[in-house]
Amino acid sequence: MSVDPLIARLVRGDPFALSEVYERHHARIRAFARRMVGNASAEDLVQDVFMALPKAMRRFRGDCSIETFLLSIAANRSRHHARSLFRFRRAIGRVAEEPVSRRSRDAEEVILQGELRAALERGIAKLSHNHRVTFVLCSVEERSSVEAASILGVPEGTVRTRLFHARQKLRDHLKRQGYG
Amino acid sequence: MSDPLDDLLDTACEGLREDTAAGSESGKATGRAVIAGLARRRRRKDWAMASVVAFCVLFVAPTVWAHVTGRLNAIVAVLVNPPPAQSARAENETQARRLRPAPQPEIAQADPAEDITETAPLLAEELPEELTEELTEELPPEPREAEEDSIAEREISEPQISETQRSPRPPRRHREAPDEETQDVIDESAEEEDTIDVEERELFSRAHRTHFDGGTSSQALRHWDDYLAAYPHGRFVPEARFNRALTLIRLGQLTQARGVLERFARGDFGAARRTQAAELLELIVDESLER
Repeated sequence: MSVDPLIARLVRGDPFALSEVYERHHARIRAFARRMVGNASAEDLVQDVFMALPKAMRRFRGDCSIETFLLSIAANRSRHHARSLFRFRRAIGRVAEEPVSRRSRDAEEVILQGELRAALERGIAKLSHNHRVTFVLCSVEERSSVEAASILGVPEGTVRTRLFHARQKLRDHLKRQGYG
Repeated sequence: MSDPLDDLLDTACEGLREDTAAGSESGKATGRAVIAGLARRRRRKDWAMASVVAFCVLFVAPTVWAHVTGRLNAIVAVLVNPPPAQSARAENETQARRLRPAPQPEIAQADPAEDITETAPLLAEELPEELTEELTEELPPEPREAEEDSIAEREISEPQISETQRSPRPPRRHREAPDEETQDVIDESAEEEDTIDVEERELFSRAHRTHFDGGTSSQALRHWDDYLAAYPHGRFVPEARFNRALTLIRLGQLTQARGVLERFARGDFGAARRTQAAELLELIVDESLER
């Protein structure tokens, strides 16, 4: 499947080309969006990214895949969803404050796993934008530092440094939450 | 030997990674929204371009014609300094046209020297009686109607609260002052409407205290049920329903809780708690799958 004609059509603003790109990549972009701004606002960010794509394609140099390019748009656009992130943090905080039913051990374990995820999400939400996006790309989505550097438009060394600091902060956060 | 916190972090990351279901419904809806949004943007751009072109054509073409025929200077002079007499006359003519009644051939041909009152009875006589009555009936008394409308609007907007409840609040005799958090919830609602049932406020405060200040889940559930039974359309119903759902989760009654939370997530109660409900539903779904 040739990418170049698709890119040319995208640049021209062909809606069918955009549909095609959306079908191929929306799941990945949505997953990334949910890590960055939470479930409730993820659709807004996904829509934002694909709406911006035709115009952004003018600066696409073809030195990376379309998915990587989309992720770089999403990483940039997620900055503008700071208010959504604030609501996301509040929602997670509220969920975490609720006392847990201790009627059944199985349910307890499942809820504890959910609490660990929620604790991690709270920690991720507290990170700075750069640390957050680096951690999500490298640790959650398991992308290489080379790929993450390409998405973020920064050197590989910068990605590694940010990842190190992000993980350090999250470890401290989990420790404060009573884990480990 | 790896740091246990690192392992925990990786485990949590794995859990987050698993939670990547795109949700075909939301994906399709967003895709449609993207295409529709871009189509709207293109149409707006096309309209803007068409407007600019039309403006240029309407402005430029006459300007070029005026210049070619040598009338440009004259037109500009008229536009910049319109002759005062002409403009006043034009204004008077426009005003006269507005005030002139609809032309009636019979009156127009009448002798202007005649007393105008002589023609009025003629008009009344000429109009059939039923038509005159109809016309009279059709005209509604405007001020009265407006007054009735405003009264109707007030009746609709004001809740059915008795006089005793509208009167100034009685001093709190043996009631505890609601805590800060409860007061915030109540005050937010109070900003929308000044009249809040005192009994309702008390019932809600009690349930809220039990829920958040150390009561058992069973007690909290009872108190939420009491409030909702007493005030099924009360001011605090969304908050009460949501907290009741949380109580059900605490008691392990996930199916019932899910039913309520789905309504919140759907937006049945507006934007209130939509986000939290959606996230709680995910946790409940995870737990159900594990079972």
